[in-house]
Amino acid sequence: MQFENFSRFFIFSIVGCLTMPGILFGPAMVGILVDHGSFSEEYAGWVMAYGSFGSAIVLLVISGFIHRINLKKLAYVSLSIAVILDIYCSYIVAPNFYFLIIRFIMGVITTIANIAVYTSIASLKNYERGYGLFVLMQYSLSGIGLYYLILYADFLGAQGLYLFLASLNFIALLMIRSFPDLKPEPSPNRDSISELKLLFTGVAFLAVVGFGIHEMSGVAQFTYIERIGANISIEDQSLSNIMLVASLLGIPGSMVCMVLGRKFGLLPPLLFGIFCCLIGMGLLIFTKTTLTYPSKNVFNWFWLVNSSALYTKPSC
Amino acid sequence: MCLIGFGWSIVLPYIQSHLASIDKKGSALAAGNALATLGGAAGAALGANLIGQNGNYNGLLQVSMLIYVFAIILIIISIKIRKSTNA
Repeated sequence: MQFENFSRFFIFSIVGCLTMPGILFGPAMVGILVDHGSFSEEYAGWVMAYGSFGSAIVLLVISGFIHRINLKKLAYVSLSIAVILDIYCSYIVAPNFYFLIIRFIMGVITTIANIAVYTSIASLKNYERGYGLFVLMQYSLSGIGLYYLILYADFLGAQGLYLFLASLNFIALLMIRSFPDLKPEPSPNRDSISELKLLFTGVAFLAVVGFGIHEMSGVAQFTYIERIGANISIEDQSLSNIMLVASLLGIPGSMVCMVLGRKFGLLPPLLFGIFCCLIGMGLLIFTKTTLTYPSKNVFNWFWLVNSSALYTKPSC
Repeated sequence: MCLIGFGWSIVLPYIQSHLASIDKKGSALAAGNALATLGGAAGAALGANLIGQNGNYNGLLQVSMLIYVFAIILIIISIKIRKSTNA
């Protein structure tokens, strides 16, 4: 797969993924903290939550004056501090409030580098393909990272986990030089429009709030999706197969954006994605009703016909 | 689940590119990501609250689907407004 600016988008996406380990590798990190760091499950959850709080706060603050800062320089500084702090964390990792504060600070500084990735992608003309590649990389690296972190959890331990995160930040730091030098001055037609004014225009406000609510809906479902499956008597093996296939389907999904870009505009592919989500949600809701049984049977038949060489019967 | 996983990964980059198109310097993207992070936390809390009340998973799915539809309406209106102002 090659398109204009592919290599640059690829590097930006790598840096973006390396600076969001809490999102991509969260479950494995929690597992390591619980099994090897004497953390309770609740406290390990708080470690992740403090990182997210730091992330959300810095994003809110930075969105108010993003035009006036040089994110590339700031990313250099923040990632340098992140490397040092992660090494420090490897020595002090313990379930106490001081550690939570350090993770909060880590959330703040790694997010600065992460937002530099978003703005760097936006600075190139075919940026929608860049975001498609970024989401594709998130799914891929999350899968690889979760697999290997869980596999080598005993070898790494809690100390090794933070040394590993420090090395990820160091790799990201080395890649920052490929970021574009975006001038901090606003463009001439933006002189009179401050960032805050921009954010309160109808277009931006609706999109920003809509995105927030969109994630709210997703996380509300995703948090309990395993419980929902268990509740409708899907056995463990089938459940894990469904979760695996569903997450793997994220890769071709994000490739739609990469391949199509804006060939069909913004709305048609977006509506197609929304349609898939709504049908999926609708089927989940009606799982216990007679509506789902024919759908399941049709799907099973379709699967059998198409995968007869594999001799596998689908469980979903 | 498969449809949701597939659809979600199409929708997400297009929402992000819409936010980027509003402001190339990234203020809308930063604010959007901030609200997405907060929205995620609120979503987990909402789920815990609904399940904690009566263990009704259907209720959780219905509420989250309604929230999803509301979010999508806001995003589509935003795209429409942007399209009309650019035209």
